[in-house]
Amino acid sequence: MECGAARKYLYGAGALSPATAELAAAKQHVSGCPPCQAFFAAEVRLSRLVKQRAPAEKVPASLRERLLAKIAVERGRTTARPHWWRWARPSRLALAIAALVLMGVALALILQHDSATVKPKDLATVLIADHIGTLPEGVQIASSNREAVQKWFHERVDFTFRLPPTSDPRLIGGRLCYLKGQRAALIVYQHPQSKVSLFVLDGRGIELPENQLITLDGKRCLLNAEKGYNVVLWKERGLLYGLVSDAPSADLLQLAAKFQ
Amino acid sequence: MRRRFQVIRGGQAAGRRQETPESAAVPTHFEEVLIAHLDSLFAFAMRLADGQRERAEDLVQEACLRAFRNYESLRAPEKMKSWFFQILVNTFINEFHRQSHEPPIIDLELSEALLESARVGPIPTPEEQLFEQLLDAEVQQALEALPVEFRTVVWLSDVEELSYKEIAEIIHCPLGTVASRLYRGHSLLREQLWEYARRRGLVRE
Repeated sequence: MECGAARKYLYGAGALSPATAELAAAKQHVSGCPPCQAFFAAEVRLSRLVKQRAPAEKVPASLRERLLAKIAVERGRTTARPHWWRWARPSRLALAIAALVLMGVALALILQHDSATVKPKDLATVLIADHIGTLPEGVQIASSNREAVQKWFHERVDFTFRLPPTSDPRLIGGRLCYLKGQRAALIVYQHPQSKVSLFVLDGRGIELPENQLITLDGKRCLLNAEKGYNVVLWKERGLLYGLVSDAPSADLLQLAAKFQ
Repeated sequence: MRRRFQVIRGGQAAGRRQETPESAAVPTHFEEVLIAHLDSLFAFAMRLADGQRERAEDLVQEACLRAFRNYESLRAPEKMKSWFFQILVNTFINEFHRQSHEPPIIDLELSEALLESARVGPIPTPEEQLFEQLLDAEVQQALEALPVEFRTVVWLSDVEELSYKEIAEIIHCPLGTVASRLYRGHSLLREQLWEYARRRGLVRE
């Protein structure tokens, strides 16, 4: 076998084929041919150079958040319109009426038992979805002054809380959100690389599993991770606090420790 | 003569669809796997989009949403990485490259004469050492200067270390075309790197 044929065979698709007499002949040629060895060595070196020097772009955090938010919306849409929906077309009116009746019953039950138990895992999922869907510019009060942010919330929710002084992460502002059918506070911070959301809500009906809690400066916290996001939950004076971010959980715990 | 990425299959029908009843079956770890590959997808999109950041972001976003909506078309979950790349390439062709007025490239089979004539003789400085002296920016510029068809194959092979078979599936080409584009891409890249080396006085004619 000549140099050109051996190179063509080993460089091309022939290299992927099972052992054949041609493959063996090509390999035998190269093993005894210094120019062919130099040819393949040069190709390997160039591949290595490209790999080493290739620009190592990281996906922008804003794109990642936007993408996860859009997928979360699509998941919600598909959950609301399950597979059997298309087969149920003639009965949609009946279904709509049934849904209204069920919603009425559910509402009545919620009003009677507003402290119904909420699983921390479910709550973490909801908080992550809300965190993803909140853009820093989507706050209702934009301020880095914690007193001003606290005052704004205290006029709008049925509980009071105090935000700790912190410059890292930096306070951006907040907005109202609805959790467990009640108004809750969502405070937004900016970590150097990531957005951090702090949720504060009435903690009644939410039990954190004792055997999974970690102790941090006397505070008992539950750590959770889902879809690349870390969640830290803790209860204090009847309120439930939840920190959510893709920042390291250690950073979230540090922030949690600042709450007294 | 072939059109640029002449065969468009797989994700084409997927792209237009807005209603997505089947995606209810997408497993919850989809996002985790996606995040694990997102940097690679974005870097590849940057190469497809000629380094235009905004265009690359749009491309990645559109491709990832298509992947989510068409999860049921994934036959082998263990091949999710190359499947993401395949959808990214399809999206690029269908939505971003359609109005390109660049001339088509001609895919040549690897020729024995071409391979035999490759420069492997003695050179003043060993190539490896010479290219090592070039700046990252010069290597990256040389890569960006490749026609997108060659750049795509070089990137998928050298950076992502995908097999010929995986690359062939991603760009919808025969294995021989992948090999040919890789070799021609390397040759053009090598020529450009030599040019940079000459300009910087690292090589004497």
